[in-house]
Amino acid sequence: MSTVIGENVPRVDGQEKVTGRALYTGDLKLAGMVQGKVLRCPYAHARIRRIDARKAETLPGVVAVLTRDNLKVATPYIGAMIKDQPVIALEKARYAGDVVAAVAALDDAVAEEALKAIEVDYEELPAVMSVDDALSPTAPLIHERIERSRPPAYGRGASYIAHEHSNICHHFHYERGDVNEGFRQSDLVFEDEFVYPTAQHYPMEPTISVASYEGDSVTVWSPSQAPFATRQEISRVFGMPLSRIRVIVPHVGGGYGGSKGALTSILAVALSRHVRRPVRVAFSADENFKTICQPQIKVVIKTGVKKDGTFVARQSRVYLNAGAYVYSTPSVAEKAGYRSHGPYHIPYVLTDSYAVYTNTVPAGAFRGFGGHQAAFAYESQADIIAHRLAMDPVELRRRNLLGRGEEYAAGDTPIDCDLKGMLEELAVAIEWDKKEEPPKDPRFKRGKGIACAVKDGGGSGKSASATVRIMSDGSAVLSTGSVEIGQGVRTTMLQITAEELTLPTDRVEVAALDTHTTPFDHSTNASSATVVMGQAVQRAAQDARQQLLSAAASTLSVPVEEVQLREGRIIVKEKGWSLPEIMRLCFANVGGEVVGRGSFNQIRDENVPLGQRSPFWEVGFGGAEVEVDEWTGAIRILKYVSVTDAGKMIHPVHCRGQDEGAAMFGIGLSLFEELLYEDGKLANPNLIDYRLPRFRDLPHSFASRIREDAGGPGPYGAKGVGEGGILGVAPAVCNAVFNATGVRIRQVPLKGERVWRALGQPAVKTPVRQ
Amino acid sequence: MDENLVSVRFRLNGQQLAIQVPSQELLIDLIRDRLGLTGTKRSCDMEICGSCTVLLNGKAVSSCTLFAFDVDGKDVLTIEGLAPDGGLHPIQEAFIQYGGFQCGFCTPGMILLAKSLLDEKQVPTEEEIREYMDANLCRCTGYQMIIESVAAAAEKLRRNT
Amino acid sequence: MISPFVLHQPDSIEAVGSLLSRYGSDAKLLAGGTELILLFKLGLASSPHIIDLKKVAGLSRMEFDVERQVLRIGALVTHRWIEQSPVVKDHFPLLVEMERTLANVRIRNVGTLAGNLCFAEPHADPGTLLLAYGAKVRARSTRGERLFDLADFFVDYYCTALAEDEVVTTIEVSKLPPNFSAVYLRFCPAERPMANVAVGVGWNDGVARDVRLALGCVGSKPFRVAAVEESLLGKTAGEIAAESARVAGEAARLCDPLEDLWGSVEYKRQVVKALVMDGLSRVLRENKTNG
Repeated sequence: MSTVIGENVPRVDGQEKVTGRALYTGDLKLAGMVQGKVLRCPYAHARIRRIDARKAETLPGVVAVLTRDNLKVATPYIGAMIKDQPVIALEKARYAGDVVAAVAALDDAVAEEALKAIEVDYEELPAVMSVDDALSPTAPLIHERIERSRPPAYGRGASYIAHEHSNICHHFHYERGDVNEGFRQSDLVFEDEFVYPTAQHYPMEPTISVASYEGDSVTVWSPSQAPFATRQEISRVFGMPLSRIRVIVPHVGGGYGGSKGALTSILAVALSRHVRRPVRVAFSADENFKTICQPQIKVVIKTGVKKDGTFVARQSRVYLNAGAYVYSTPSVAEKAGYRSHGPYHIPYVLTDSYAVYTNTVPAGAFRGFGGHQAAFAYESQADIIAHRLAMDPVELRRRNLLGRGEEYAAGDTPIDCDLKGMLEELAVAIEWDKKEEPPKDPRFKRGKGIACAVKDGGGSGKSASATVRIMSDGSAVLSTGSVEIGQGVRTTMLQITAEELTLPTDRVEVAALDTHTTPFDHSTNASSATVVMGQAVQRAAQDARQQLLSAAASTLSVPVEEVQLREGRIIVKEKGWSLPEIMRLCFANVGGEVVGRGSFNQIRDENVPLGQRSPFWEVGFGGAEVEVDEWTGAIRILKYVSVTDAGKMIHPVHCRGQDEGAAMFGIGLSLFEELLYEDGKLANPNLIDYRLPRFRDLPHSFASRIREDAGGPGPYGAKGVGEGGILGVAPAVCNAVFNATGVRIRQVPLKGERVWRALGQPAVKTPVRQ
Repeated sequence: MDENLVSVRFRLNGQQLAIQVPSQELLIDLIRDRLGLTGTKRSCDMEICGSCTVLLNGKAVSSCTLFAFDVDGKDVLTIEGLAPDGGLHPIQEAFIQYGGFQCGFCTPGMILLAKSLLDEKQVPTEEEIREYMDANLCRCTGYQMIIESVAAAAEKLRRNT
Repeated sequence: MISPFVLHQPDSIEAVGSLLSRYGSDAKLLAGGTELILLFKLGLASSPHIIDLKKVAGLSRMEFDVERQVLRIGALVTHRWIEQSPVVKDHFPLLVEMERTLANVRIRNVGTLAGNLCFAEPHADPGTLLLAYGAKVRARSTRGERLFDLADFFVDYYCTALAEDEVVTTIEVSKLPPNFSAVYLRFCPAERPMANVAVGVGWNDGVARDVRLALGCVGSKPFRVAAVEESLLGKTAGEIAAESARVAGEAARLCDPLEDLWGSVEYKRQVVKALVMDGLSRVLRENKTNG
């Protein structure tokens, strides 16, 4: 019998995207639509003494100006774990770029003029730009009052510690055994500090939302990875019932966790409600930079080991720069903390993870979600340990990696794949044992490095539902709330549906995502859709199938056990009916439908530190071969290998695309991506000064090896893929740099000057005659 | 007549057009807003990313940083013009088959860039593909699968001729 | 937002001259627009009048004068044209190499070499190499014609010696003499080059008779490091090799880079040293292989 699982079926959005027919939010034109733009505070921290929009309001072509004075909402605060971000600044602005007013005008040019005409009286306040400064006892409080939307519900071994009158907005504490006892048992103790930069997701599509408020209802188009959360926020902020809010997700030009549309959707609704016309709020590329970023993370990591390299104890302190508003940074703090002991057997663990407010661009979720920053620390330190013990770095990993079925943390899902096998595969793929020829010119040094990282994949507290409707002609429509951000999820869900209904893929359609008609889904993130929504879709399809079998059994007067569905036909003994025939028989009138429903909910488990069992383990093992130019510090990655496990690849080409794309993200972050500040402002909010990876940065040997260890909880043994590839890049590259030069660099990105100085500023010398 | 209006006569996707545009209108806005062809995308808005790529007399250009009047007397090809009869151009087929895109936002520009390469060089080496396509950015794919798509497209085109 | 402007599309150089005389600083010249239009979009420049050069006769020509061994590049010749020209490849291979690395192919398809030089962006590729070629710039106005040495053409950051009423018509590049080895190298970790160098040595009787060392991106304009050039004249390849570290250090000392997001002044001087050292090594190696 044929199967579509594991087939590279043409993606459902393929034709639209390659022909330019795919409509993204910015391509939408609604009759009477006006343009929304925002005014941003130029100071890092400032009290807004006065804001006067009267001149702006009277400019021809200006339809409305919204400030704190005329914004009428049930509550002005939005946010994920903490509702800390006012839609429009109230008493003060907390970072250079904070929104202080919004205008709606007939076109962009008029909107720009209106912004210039708004008068704002700022009183500059002392600002803190770094975590260290924000933690100092004399630091100004960025948020006087922190209102949590819900207290974190951790389980055994983890706790939330509140800090009063502090810029610490979240403190996650996690322990296993008595770490000091662990250090006493250790032969050697290592303590190191590592820093991973703040960065910009830079999806190719800039953030944009469109809202149309009519009567008592509003329709919003937004490229959101969490349209149901967007709906929820709109409901809260504007005091509207969920049933009057419709969020539609057009094609999305990249997400990577950047909470795209979270702010623009609220601003668009606010403006549209005020002017009673459709409003588009489109941020330019540089405004994207000023909206959200990846938190800069410092990890102070202390590890105790035995002489033979066995890990005994690990204490980590993780500091996240949350920026002015937290978005999901508290969750990132939890995860970075939970992930900081890595895929290893370590009996004693203590972790404290702090998310700290500063007067910088708000930080939030970013592909990897604390996993790659934690890995940078523990995998760099692993090589420091190996070197000190004169041990092969691969052997050190071999000694300590968790095996399949072993526990990562008490109560949590055991390791569901063969990590040790992956390590061997990685070593072979990077030709670890091969003695490479050094470059002829001594100015260049080459080396190899590996890194082994995992993250708990699949998200927390997720809830997903789906419906599968079988039409009277035997074709089917799937309604799923998973957002297509490029990863291919809607194709995957189509494959699952087609497989369960034994239909060819061209007989299944995936309905457009519209919160009015699409069943609830928590969000598309955490590499969760294949496992979480996949199970909901599978159950919905199975439910539809079961109803069909029952209806057929009833109509044909046979026991349901004798009815089969095979290759799109109902079979009873030797007789067969096509689906249209059966539908006609079962439903006396022409028409009728079978509606299958399925859902998946993660349930709370007190025994697990994070309060929920991790759905699966997402693997990111990486191996790099680099060449370092001692004269300029320039790094070339000659070869990169990523090894991960998909459980079962439902669509191999899409899995590969995700892993390679994630690895390239890691390369960008390792070599040149970082947000820089000058005078309290972002100094590089554009692509001239913020460098993204290009074709030229693709290593000449670049491979993603995706295993199918069949241990995933998703349909057919599948797991999520999409973030693994980013986890191991920075430590593998820095370990390779160490291997090449003997110099350990503890901060990325590895820009030329940083490397050159770390190397001791080697001089340009006349080369020895070759 | 407003002295800031300029007459522009050009061919767009094979069709002759004669219009009048404000002097300061950008080509990308002419294409997207005035003519309603939204396949061409705006991203960085400063000639770096190439999402706005169109072909001008067969050459890849940044429509975000050209005036509309700059196309006077020229041939413009946008993504909508690549396979106007509802089918797919071999480059488009190859991109679908070989995973040359994910979110799709850079894709119209990337496909047109690939077309300009393959029009000039029927059988580019992998190195030549990499060097030429370096002009445009993609945030999703990691580039390797785009290179494979372009190589596959070259092969398809070679077999078709 | 770009302010509206009056567009002029003259069809002769004389007409351009008249327009420039008439409108002075109220007019800006437009060729490819890759720099000017971007400035307009960013709100860093505006102009009530734009003089579009693209319909002017005689500017879209590139010719190699065999007798004088000079390449004449018209003001509307694009980077891509130069990059793909067989004539340029035969006689000025370094020019092709330099153009291949410039920006990206979309910019090269539209941007002109003349426009690049007139914009005088300090982080640019062509100026440095053309200085080593001893290039000249020809400009016209209603007052007549002027011929500039490129070294005199660049005055400061974004500033050339052109008068308000002048328009560049041709760039003239003399072919490198025989027995002359040269290279062009750049260091470009981001979007625009951080530093570049063009170095070449002409040999006669085993000693250097003609030394050219141009540095770019590390000062208000590209420049020839005359002191270093003089110090190498009359030396053999072996002697130059032995002094290359000193030479590189001297060149680094004489440049004036600004600190920015990509490097400190000290680091940029290091990069200059690396490029000069590398450049010299390659030039000397080439000389060896050429016997």
